[in-house]
Amino acid sequence: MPDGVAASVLEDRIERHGATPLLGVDGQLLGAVLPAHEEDDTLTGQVLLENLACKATAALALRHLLARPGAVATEKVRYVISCGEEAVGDRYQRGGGNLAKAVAEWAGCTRATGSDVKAFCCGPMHSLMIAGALVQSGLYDDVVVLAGGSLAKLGMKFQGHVKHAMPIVEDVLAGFAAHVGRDDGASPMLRLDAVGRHEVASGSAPLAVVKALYTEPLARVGLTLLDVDRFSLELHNPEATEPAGSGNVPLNNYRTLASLAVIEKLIERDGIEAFVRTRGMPGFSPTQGHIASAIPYLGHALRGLTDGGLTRTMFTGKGSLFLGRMTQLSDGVSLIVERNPRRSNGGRAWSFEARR
Amino acid sequence: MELRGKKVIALGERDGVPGPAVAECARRAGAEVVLTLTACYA
Repeated sequence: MPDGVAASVLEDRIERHGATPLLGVDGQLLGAVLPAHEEDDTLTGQVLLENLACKATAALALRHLLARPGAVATEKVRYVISCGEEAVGDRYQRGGGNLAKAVAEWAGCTRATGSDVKAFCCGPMHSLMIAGALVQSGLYDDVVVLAGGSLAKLGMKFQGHVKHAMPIVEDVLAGFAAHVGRDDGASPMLRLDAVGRHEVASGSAPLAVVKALYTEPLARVGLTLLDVDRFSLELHNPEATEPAGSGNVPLNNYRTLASLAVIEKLIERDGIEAFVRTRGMPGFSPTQGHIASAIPYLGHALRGLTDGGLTRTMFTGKGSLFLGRMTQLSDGVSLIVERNPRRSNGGRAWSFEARR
Repeated sequence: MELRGKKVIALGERDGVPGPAVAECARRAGAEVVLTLTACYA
């Protein structure tokens, strides 16, 4: 560790140079993040700190992925897609930059390049779809999809927690990394022939949205909702959202999905709760937008689809495009991940294959 | 509620009823939708 900096120096940089102070829980000044430019609002200390937090947590996730037994060799990773929510750039291309390659560099993926995919909370699903397409096309054999956490969303709903005299539970910077590779005969398969899309013309009515994301892609390959063992949706932990008045997001969305099954005459109305219980799951993810969006179940699904009793899982992410004020539309992508028909023992966790 | 001739702000929620869907209902009931917003509570 290099020598520290005296508190007086830090205070000077905060007062004279606009550095963002880093304070401990006791209010003690621990450090400061200097802005990278005097006039650039996209390079303030706060923005750089958020981007650095995203980069660090994504790189940590990637290094964990690469350290797992049977993982892809670091030098074989040829393309990295980052779907974190931070906007890297400067005032001439706000958000136009690229965190993926910076993360690959930190993780030692010397032969990789990469790019960022942005779609609000739907980013991970878009990224997995694109990764699968890159592998299926033969352009790259090994692609990594990853994301870092959102510093801005720490304590996002703190007012509800304080109001109910409970701890501020949104205290986790999360990240993930997933390897998409060619069919190894054992790892679960990503069904690129059954990608669900919320298209511009799909409309915003709830029934239209769920049909576009579930009924249409499943029907395309001759399946129904009942052919899916487990659905992964927005998996926000309700302990964080309910005190803030946002309700139990996963439960509400599972009930909407079960209602679709009723409309399609797949189950009776009194079967809604059983559908939710057997094909859904409680929300368990930190409330970090893209992080909570279906992807937290991927590792569990891979285990269930290799060594467990699952045959088919479905992942659905939705993105609030309207938050950026450029459209009234939301977005959505769904993906099916299923057991490899040639499944044998020794499937690799945390990696899966694009169906060719 | 009689909406005909009224001005309406349509405020929806992504995982419930989104703003455009609320606005369309209000329009068909004869209201003038002056603002449509959707919130993301997740």
